[in-house]
Amino acid sequence: MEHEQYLALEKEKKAQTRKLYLTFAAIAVVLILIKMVFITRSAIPTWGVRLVAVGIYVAIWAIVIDQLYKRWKAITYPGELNPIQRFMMRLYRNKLATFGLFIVLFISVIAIFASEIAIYERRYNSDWKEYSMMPPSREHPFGTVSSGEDLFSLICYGSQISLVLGLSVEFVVVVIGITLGVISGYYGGWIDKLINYFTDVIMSFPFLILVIVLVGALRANPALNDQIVDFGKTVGMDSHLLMVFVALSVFGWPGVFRQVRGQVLSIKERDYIAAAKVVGASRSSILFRHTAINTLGPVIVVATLGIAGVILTEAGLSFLGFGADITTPSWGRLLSEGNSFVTQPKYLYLAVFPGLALFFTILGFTTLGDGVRDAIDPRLKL
Amino acid sequence: MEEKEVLMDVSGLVTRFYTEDGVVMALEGVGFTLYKGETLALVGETGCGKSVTALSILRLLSISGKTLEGKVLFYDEETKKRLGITNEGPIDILSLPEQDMLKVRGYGMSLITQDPMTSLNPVYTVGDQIMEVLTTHRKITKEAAKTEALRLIESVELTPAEEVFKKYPHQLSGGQRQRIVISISLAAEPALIFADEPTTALDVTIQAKVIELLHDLKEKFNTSLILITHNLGIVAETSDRVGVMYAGRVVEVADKYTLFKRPLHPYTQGLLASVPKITEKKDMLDFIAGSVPNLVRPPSGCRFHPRCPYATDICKEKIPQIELVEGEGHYVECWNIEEVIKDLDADKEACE
Amino acid sequence: MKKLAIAVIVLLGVYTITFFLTFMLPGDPARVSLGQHGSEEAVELIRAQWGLDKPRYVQYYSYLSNFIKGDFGKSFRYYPRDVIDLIRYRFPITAYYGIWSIIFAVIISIPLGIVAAYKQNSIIDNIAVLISQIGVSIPNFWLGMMLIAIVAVKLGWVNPVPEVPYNYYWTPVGFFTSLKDYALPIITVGTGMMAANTRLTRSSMLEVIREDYVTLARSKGLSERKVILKHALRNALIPVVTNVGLQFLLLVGGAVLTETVFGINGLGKLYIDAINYRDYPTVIALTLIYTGGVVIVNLIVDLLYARIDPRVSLR
Repeated sequence: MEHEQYLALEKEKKAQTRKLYLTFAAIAVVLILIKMVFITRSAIPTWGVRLVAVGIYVAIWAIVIDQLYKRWKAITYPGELNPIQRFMMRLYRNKLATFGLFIVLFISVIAIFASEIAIYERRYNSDWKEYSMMPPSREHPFGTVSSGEDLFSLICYGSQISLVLGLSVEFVVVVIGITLGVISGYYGGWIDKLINYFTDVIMSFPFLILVIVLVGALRANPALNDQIVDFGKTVGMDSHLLMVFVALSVFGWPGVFRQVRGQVLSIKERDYIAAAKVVGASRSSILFRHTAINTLGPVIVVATLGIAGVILTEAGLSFLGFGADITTPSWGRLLSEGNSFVTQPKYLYLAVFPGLALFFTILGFTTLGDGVRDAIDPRLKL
Repeated sequence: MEEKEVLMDVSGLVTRFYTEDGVVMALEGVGFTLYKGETLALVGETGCGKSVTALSILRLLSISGKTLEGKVLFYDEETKKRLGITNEGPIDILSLPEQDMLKVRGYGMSLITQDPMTSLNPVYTVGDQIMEVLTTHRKITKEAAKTEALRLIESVELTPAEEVFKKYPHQLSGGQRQRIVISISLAAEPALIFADEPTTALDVTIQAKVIELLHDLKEKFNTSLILITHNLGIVAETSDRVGVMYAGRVVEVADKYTLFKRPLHPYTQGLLASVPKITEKKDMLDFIAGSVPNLVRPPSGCRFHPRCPYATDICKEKIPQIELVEGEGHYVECWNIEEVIKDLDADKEACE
Repeated sequence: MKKLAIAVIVLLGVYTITFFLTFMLPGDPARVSLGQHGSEEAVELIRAQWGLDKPRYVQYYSYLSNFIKGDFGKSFRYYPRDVIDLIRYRFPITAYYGIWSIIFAVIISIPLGIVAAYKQNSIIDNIAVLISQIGVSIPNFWLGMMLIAIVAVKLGWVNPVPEVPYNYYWTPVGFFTSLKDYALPIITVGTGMMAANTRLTRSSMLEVIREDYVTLARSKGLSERKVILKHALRNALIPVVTNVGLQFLLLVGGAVLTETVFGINGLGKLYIDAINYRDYPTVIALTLIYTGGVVIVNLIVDLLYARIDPRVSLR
C-alpha cells in the first residue's frame, strides 16, 4: 500500500493501543481496590467462602487479561499470527512446559493471596502448647507444627517467601549480569579478562558452600549484623533472610553474565552491526537495540531457571539453619523441623507437605524454563 | 549411439516428512531411468526434492521422513551377488530388509554429501574413515585396507598420501575434505554414486578441479553418477543426460544438448532463460513469475500451474504423466506440450 | 601448561575470597571456645596461641605458606588436634558414598540418554525426560528424607542411618557389600547428578545424530550399532565430559545436605560445625579442598578434553 496510507494506519494503531492500555489500567485499579476492600480476612471470615471468592476474583482477572490480549491482537496484528501466539503454540505443544506454567501461575496466586487462602492467621497464641504437633485433621488439613501453628497456613505464607526471594534475587542478578556481560563483551581487553577471572573463581565454588560462608560471615560480624538487623526491622523482614538475599545476589550472576557476554560477542562479529555502523547509527543505540532483542530470550530462560535455583538454595540454607529464622515460615525451615521426625510415621506430615510444596514449585520453574528455551529456539525439534 | 544398459529404474517415488508444522509432500511421484556408466544430472531449485530423492533411494531419510510409495529397481550384478539373490531381474531396493540394505550402501551405491566441513567425523582420522568402508564390505586385513586407502587418497590427487592419511578433518581445507569424501564414496567401487551438490560449498576455483576429478574417476571405474546440483554450468560441463525437477516431480528428461538447445517444459524454459548470458546485455534479469510452492500445501494438479504461461483448466486438476515427446530420449510431463512446441518452433522460425 | 598456571591463579583467588569471608566472622573464636566463663586473660592467651592477635595480612600469609607445606594448622574447635587429622578421619566416609554416587549417576544417565535420544518421542524417551526433570528439581535433602521415611521406616528394607563402619567398607569386599547400607544416601546425592547428566547426554546425542557425518557414515553401509556407538557417541560425549566439573560441584553441595539428613559424620557435617563454631582453620581448609577439588577436576577435564577431541590443542 502507499506509504502515507501505511503511516496513517500505524498512527491509528498506536492511538488505539494507547486507549486500550489506559482502559486496562483503569480496570486494574478498580479490581485492586475491590480486592483490598472486599476480599480480605475481615470481610469474609469463613475460609471456604473466602477460597471461592479468591477463585472468582482470579477468574475475573484472567478474563480481563484475555480480553486485553484479544483486543491488542486485533489492533496490531489483524489476521496474522503474532509472535506471542507462535510462541505460545510452541509452548503448549510441550506438555511438560505447559504443566510448569500452570504450576508457576498457581503458586503465584497462592503467594499473592496467601493471607486470604491461609486458614489461620499468624499470631501468637498463648495456649499454643495445646495445638502443638497435631497430625492432619479437619481443622488442620496439614496438621500443626511444634509452635502450634497450622501447617497449611504456614505453607501458604511460605510461598510468599520463596517467590518474593526468587524474583528479587533474580532481578538483581539479571541486572548485574547484563551490565557486566555487556561491558565485558563489548569492550573486551583487560576488563573482560578481569571480570572473567572473577567469574571463574566464583563458579568454582559449590554454590551452597559459598552462600553458607557468606551468610555465616554476615551473621557473626557484629557491625554488619547490626546494620542488617536494623534494616530488617524497618522493612519488616527477617534479617537473616535478608542476608540470604544478599548472598544469593552477590554470587548468582555468573550464569546470566556468561549468556549475555556470549551473545554480545557473537553479535559484535555479525555483519549487521557493521552495516548499521555504515548507515551511521550511534554506537550506543546499535549496542542496545541489537543486543537486547537477541539476548532477551536466553536471559529469560536463565532467569527462570535461576529462580528455581534460588528457591532450592534458600530452602537448603534454611534447612541447615543458615537461612530463615524460626519465626519465618520458609519451606526449608519447616523441613528442618520435619527432619527430626522422619523416622516416626505419625509425624511424617511435617516433612511431607513442605517438601511437596518445595518440589512442585521448583519443578514448575524448571519445566517452564526448559519449555521457554525450546519454544524460543527456532530450530525444529524433529 | 551405443547399447545402453539400464542400471536403475525409479518410478512413482512418494516421500513425505511429518513435521510439527505439517506434512511436507517432498516427492510426489518421482521417476527416471539411469543407464550404466552415464552421468545423470538432477537439476532444480532448492527445495524441489533433488536431495530427498537420493536419500529416499538410499533409504537414509531422517526420522520424520517416510517413503510411502514407489519402486526402485537396481540392476547391478555385483550387488545381486553380494546379497545372494539368484533369480533373474533387478533388486527391489525399497523392499529390502535393513540388513541387506547395509550391504547395498557403500557397495552398490554410495553418497557424496554437500558440505565438506561437516561431512567428516571430526574425531577420527581421515584414513580411518576411508578404511571403514573397505573393512565393512570386504574381507580384508588392516594392512591391506591401509594400502588400499593410501591408493585411494592418491587417486584423488592428495599427496603425500601417508601424511594425509593421518590427518584429522579439521586439518584439511574444504577442497581437500571433499576429495576425501569422494575417495570414500569410491572405496568399495559402487555401481552408482549420488553426488549431492558436491561443489556448492566450495570456492569457485576449487569447484572446477573437484568436478574434473569426479568426472575422471567416474570414467575410470565406469561408475554411474547422479549429479544433484542447481548449477547449470556444471551440468553443461559434465553430464550426459539431465533431469529437471520441480516441486517434487521430474518434469523433463533429455540428453544434455537437447535440453539446452530445445527445452520443452515451460519451467525448464524459464529456468534456462533466467540464466544471464555474458554475451547479452540486459537491464533486468528474467525470472519466472511467482515463487516456489509451499510443499505442505502444494498446488493441486500440476504443481507448476500457478506460474505457467500455458496453464489451462486440466492443469489445475490432474497431474500430468511424463511421456516420450520427441526423439529417443526426450521426456516431458505437460498437458499442453503441443502448444509449447508450436510456440517454440514458431520462435525458431522467426529467428531464422 | 598455561592452563596449569591459570588454575593456580584461580585457586589463589579462591583462597583469598575464603580467607576474607571467614575473617568476616569475628565473633572471636577464642571466646567461642572458652564460652562465657573464660577469663579475659585466658582468651588472650588462646588468641596468642592461635595467632589471632597478629595483623590480618600476616595471618593471610602464614596460613597460605602453611597450606603449601601441607599443614592446615590446628583446629580451633578440637584444639590441639590438627585440622588435617580431622579431615583425614572423615574423608573416607564422605568419599565412599561420593564415589558410589558418581558411579550410580554415570551408569544410569549415559545409556539412558543415548537410548532416549535414539528413540526420540518413544516411551523410553518420555520416561527419561520426566525422570531427569524430576531429578533436577527435587530438593535432594527432601528426597533423602522421603527415602528414609518410605524405604527405611515403612518398608524396612534398610537402616535409616548407615551403620557400617568405615574401616569395613574400604576393604575390597566391604566396598561392595556395604552398598545396601549406604543405598539411600547414594541415591540421594546421585539423583541430581544422574538427572543432569541424562539431559545433557540426550540433548547432545540428539544434535549429533543429525550431523552430516552420521548420514555419511550410514551411507557407507555401516550397521546402525556401529554408527551410533562409534561415530555418534564419541562426539556426543564431549560436552558431557566437560561437564564433569559441574557434577563434582553438585556432589559437594549435596554432601553437606545429605550428611545432615542421614546423620553421617563426614566432611559435610564437619564443615557446617566448623562454621558454626568459628573454627577458621577448618573452614578455610575445607573450603580450599572443596573448591580446589573442583578446580583440579576441571583442569583434568580440560586436559582430557584435548585428548578426546582432536580439534582442541594443548597450549
